[in-house]
Amino acid sequence: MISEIDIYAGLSSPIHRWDPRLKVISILTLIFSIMLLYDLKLVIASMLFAIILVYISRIPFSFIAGRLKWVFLFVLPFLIILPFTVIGEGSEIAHIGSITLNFRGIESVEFAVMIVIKALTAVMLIFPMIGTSRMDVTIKALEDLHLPNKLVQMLAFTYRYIFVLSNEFMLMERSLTSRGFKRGSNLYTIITLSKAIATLFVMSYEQAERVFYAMRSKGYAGKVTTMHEFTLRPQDWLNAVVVCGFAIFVQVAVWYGTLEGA
Amino acid sequence: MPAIKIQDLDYTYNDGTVALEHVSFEIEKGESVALIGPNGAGKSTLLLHLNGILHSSESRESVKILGESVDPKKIHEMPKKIGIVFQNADDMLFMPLLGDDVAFGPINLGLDKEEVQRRVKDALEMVGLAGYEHRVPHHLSGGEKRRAALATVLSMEPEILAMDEPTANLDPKSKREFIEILRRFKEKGKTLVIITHDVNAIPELAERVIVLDKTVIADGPTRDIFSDTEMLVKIGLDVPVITQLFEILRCFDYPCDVLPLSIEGAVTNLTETMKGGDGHVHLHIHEHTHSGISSARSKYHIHVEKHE
Repeated sequence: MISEIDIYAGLSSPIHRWDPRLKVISILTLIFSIMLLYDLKLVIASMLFAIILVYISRIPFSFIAGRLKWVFLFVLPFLIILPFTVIGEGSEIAHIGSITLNFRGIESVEFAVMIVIKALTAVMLIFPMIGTSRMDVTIKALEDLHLPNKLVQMLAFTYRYIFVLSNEFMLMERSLTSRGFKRGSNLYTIITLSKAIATLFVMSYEQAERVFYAMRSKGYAGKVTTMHEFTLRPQDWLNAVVVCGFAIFVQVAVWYGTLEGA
Repeated sequence: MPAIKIQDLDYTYNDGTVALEHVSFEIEKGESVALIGPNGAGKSTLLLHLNGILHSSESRESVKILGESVDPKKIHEMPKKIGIVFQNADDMLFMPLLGDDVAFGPINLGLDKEEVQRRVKDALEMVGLAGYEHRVPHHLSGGEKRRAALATVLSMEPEILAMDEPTANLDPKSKREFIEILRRFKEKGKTLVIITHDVNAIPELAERVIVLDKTVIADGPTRDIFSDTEMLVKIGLDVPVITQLFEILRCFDYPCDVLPLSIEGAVTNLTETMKGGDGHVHLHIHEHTHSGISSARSKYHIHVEKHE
């Protein structure tokens, strides 16, 4: 059984072979750099770069698209609302009661499209960053990068127990089904599933207490340390130079564009 | 110096439920003791007192491990002395990889990297999971998880091993393997405390039994405890199936003064009886046979009150 989060971690690609520490740092740098952009052309170029990275990682686009659609639904309101939101001047196109609908012009459409593409690109980059190493390796990489230990512990426990809890919920659902429960679009379904989830919360609280007891029994005094060995090869650095290089390039392009404009 | 000394231990949960009352006993180094009792008898609560996870102000200094009182402020120092294996293996395996779980205790003990690696390798070998370092715990089978949980404690090389229901819900093969691992631990002269409902496994693992029902009801050699069937049945416990079978055989005039507790004991008993009977075992049905069988069977039959 392979958990969904690790489903494509076993493929072989240059991104998979990349040292997880440099991979996390480089792609995070790229994500931050893209987030700072306010130029549609550069944002589109970044998205193309992200698509190339995904292509090299061999993670199927259909898998990524399936997850990106939820992000798209989340950012869709920007696309609809921003072109009609007026800060300053806008041309009035409709007047309904006390609400006036204004259009800010093609720049506002571009701005909205840019926000959506930035969001999609950032989420798309998460896949080659996290999905190309097993989660336990990524967690160890984060520990090696001196991420605060509490955060590493939270990630490690989430990864470890999310499966236990989802299994418990599956058992609960089976138990409900075997006693004649059918999911439907009604209040009864919502109430029943809410109660099941509430029970799951209580169970997870009790399990957390038992796990804490087990940790204390094994000498836990607040810090979790694991053993890991990562080695850096020239190829790892080269990959980092390419990805970080692009992140820097777009920022330099913005800076150069600003100078030109001035 | 006893390995475990408990003197007048009381414990009441926050909701007012009394879990333990005036519990006192001593366990010597190298002894293997089974702790039995009905559900809710306080066995698991007692186990958590052995390394100070549970404690109460009124029972301070009640628990001594290897001559020293258990200090709740120094729980992190306890794993060197006593290792506790919890009932649910998922509670014990909390790291992303099994190797990390087994290394967790030794790292906390402050051991160097080479020593940690040696202990991880040895502990996994001991439980028959050599080479499982890079396996993800939630992908292991139930039996493997149970053995893995034991390895996470064995890697700390404790003097005392205390386990909560180690063989519960295991298939026969996994159960057999687990009992073998515990027997090897016992042969090394380590102290073993096992909470169990599996009365058939006790004769193989423990030479002494403590019966607990909030307080100590009985304490003695395994044979003596299992001879007191009335006491065991009264508090809802059982005796090994082999013992029950030989008690029935006695009704057929099978000569058996001391009832065997395990298969090994049964083989010895049968062999000796056959030697004395020219290679045969003679069984007879008499007038009293059926009444004897009924009386023996009714002894183990736990009566459940019927509600009208």
